[in-house]
Amino acid sequence: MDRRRFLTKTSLGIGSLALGSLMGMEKIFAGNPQTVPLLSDSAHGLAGLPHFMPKAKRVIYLFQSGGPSQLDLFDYKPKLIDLHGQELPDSVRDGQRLTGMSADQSSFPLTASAFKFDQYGQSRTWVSELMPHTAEMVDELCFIKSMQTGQINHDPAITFFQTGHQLPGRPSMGAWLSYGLGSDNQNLPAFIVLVSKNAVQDQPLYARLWGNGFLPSQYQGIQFRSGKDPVLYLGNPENYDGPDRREMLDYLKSLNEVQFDTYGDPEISARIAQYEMAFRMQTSVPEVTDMSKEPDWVYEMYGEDSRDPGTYAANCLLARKLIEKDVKFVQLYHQGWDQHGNLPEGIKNQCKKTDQATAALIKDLKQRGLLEDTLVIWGGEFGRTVYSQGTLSPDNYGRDHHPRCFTKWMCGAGVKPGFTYGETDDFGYNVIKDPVHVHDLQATILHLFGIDHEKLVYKHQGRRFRLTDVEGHVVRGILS
Amino acid sequence: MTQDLITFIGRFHPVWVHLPIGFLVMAALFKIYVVLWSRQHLREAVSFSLLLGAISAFIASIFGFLLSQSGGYEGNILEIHRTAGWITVSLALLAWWVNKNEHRFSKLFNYSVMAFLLLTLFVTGHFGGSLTHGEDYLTAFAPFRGEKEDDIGRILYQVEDAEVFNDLIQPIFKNKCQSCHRSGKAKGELNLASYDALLKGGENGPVIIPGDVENSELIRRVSLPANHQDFMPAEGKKPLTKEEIQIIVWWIDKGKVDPKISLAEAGDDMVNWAKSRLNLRGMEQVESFSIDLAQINDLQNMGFRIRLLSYETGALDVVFPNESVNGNISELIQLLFPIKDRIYWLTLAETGIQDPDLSVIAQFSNLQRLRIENNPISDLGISALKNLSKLEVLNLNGTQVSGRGMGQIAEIRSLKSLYLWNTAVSTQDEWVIKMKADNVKVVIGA
Repeated sequence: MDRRRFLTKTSLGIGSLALGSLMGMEKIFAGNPQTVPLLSDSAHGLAGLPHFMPKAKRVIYLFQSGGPSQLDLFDYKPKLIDLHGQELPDSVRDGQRLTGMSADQSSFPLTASAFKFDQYGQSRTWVSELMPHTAEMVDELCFIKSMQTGQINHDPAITFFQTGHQLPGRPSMGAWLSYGLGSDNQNLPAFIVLVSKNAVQDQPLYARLWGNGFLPSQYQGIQFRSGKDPVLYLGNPENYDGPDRREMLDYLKSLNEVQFDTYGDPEISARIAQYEMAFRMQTSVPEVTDMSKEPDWVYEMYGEDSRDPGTYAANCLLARKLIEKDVKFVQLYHQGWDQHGNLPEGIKNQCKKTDQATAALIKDLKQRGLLEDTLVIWGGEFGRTVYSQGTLSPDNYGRDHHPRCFTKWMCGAGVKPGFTYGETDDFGYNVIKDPVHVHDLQATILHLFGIDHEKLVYKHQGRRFRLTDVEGHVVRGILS
Repeated sequence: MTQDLITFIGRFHPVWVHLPIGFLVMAALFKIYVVLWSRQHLREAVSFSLLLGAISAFIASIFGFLLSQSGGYEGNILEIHRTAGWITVSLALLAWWVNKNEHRFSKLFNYSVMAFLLLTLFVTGHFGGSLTHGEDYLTAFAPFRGEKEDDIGRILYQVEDAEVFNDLIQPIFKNKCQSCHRSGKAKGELNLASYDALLKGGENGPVIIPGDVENSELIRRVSLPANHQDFMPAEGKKPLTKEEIQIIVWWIDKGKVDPKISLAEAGDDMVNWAKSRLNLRGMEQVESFSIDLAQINDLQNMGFRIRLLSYETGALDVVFPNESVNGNISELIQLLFPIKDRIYWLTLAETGIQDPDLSVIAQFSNLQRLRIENNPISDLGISALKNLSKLEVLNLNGTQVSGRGMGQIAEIRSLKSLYLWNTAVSTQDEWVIKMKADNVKVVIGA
């Protein structure tokens, strides 16, 4: 128990209890929403939520960690072909501070993409040849080409996307959603994280990116292992069966409840909830991760990788299966998009590992009707620069981190299909129309779940915190 | 922390205020007793009660002041309540002093101070009550009340339904402008009682110009300094608030004076501000929803997953997961009947429901999304669904429906998405082509 809760419990707690019974005001604290999830079990969300009719029931967030180059994938800039090799004008850079990796370069040559772009679908959306499968699905996707972030390095930028703040310590988006809305399937965690094993793991990911921050621990994301057994030790030990375990857990629970009654530490109820969840996962996880019933055509659609558990493709398939079981938030991470040098080769590999499975997931969700209430989000923590990091040679270049503009796409529940929002300038350096800040995106995601982002708050250390901190506006232009 | 402490202490105000009321009324009763029945030996009791009354009224005022800091009270009433409260405190002190030194003051003065004290006490109490319970709490059920006026505006079920002009701007005009600018009393020949009359303008021409705030006379008039000769509303009437002007400006500028433009387009800030001014009916439904909780618990114990979709409307999302199926699914669906009008989304995928069950589901009149994929359902059964007049999404994947049954589905005018993967229906079927032409998204495999 932390110091604050101890003091509250011992001084104010006992004092107000006595006062309350004297004055007949037992309900003096009944209105405090924070006590509700502690008292009820974690399956239910907060009272009063959702604030209005939602569009989305679940989300699959395909996080492309490292910062995929928007200029080589989706943000087509034909004028760069003529400007290729020329210096980036100072008027465009406008005094922006660069990272230490390219700040002392003597030259900043504009770099056109080495890849061909073409228009696809009825929406005539430009997509590069690197993403042939995604290109087939553009009429389902809603591109935001004007994403902006304040962070220029990986960890703060990812932390910013996942928690609304660049410093560690805040709850992640999935934790906020499961805290606010509860779980739709009590047999599985509401928030599950899958990290690709077949990616260049050059930039680390930390568990705090799916952590609960200061929210009670049962709302944190549960990471499945990238291998044959996503969760270890699901079986009971020899000579020990289900009823035995149930009996043991019941005793343990009653002991924990004695402790909770004495100290009121919410971590104790979190622990009880986690034991119960683990017990239910003993049957639910083998069921949902059982791939034997998937027909061959599914594997063919997601790509051969999907037969190898833990790859991006297999994780996409698993994400679909989890969504079918009403898991609320499935977050995939695929690392390796950090092409400071050798970009053409590097990004080609990245796309080869992810493009087909991403498109297959959309296709699969669409035909099953799941795209109606599932939101899919694709993108990284920032974009990449239009100038080449290192020397620009005829067939090779690199790109540094670029927070001023990058592309993300969303698809499914409540967003416009076959639509592009926002615009960047001809250099692909600055946003010229409809900028969307990270907090705006977060506000929009919560909005799709029927949550007013200004009202989902949690009081911690004397301040009321929310995912969007003190900012964020719902991007109404992309709502269908 | 400080803010919390202030609110915490402030909330004792509603309890504490009963003390001064009691003391001061008691003092008045003692006084009457002393004067009318000549009980001189009880004179001391009058001053004593008045002293207690004054002190407790002072404390109550402090609590009240703290409470008012937490905000959320209607400014006008709060103002009256606060002023009356402090006058009560002062009068109580004065009355105590006068009674203690009775010989130095005339009887008339003594009695009038007492009478005024009681008067302000009741005024304070009344407005305090109006603050907590609402302005018409006392009179709402009085036998003499007249027909209820419709000035609260039309009933809305969600904020998204609100229109900027009819639900926000018109009421502003009504409250602040129409005492002078209406049919029958159109000062400056300006009538703000209807949309058409507003567009017509006054003696100096139009007062609003779509898309051009700068040259809209109405905006200029209401945003001038209050002492300016052209300022409106004239004659010291209550001016428009900053937000009121803001919404009218938005309507002229971005809304292009469209009489039907929706409030949702004005952005979050406007929506939040407007909420309290709209006659939203969401809350009442939630109340009746909470009565059903026991019932919902029972259903959950039977294997249903039930989730609140919206706190505003009490809409429910009901899922029956296929792993919970044991026993007769038809009987289970019957159990949903008592909450059928609350169910907006329903999922019965792979539960084994059959054609007869659909005639039950067809009575769930508010259904917007229905997932009944992978069930032995045929054309015969789905014909019942055409009665679902609010259905937007229908998932019939993996059922036995065919092109012939689609004629019935096409009758659902509200339908937006239809899923027919793994069925006998093909893209060439006449009704599928027709529905696609009507902008229904028909998905038959990828």
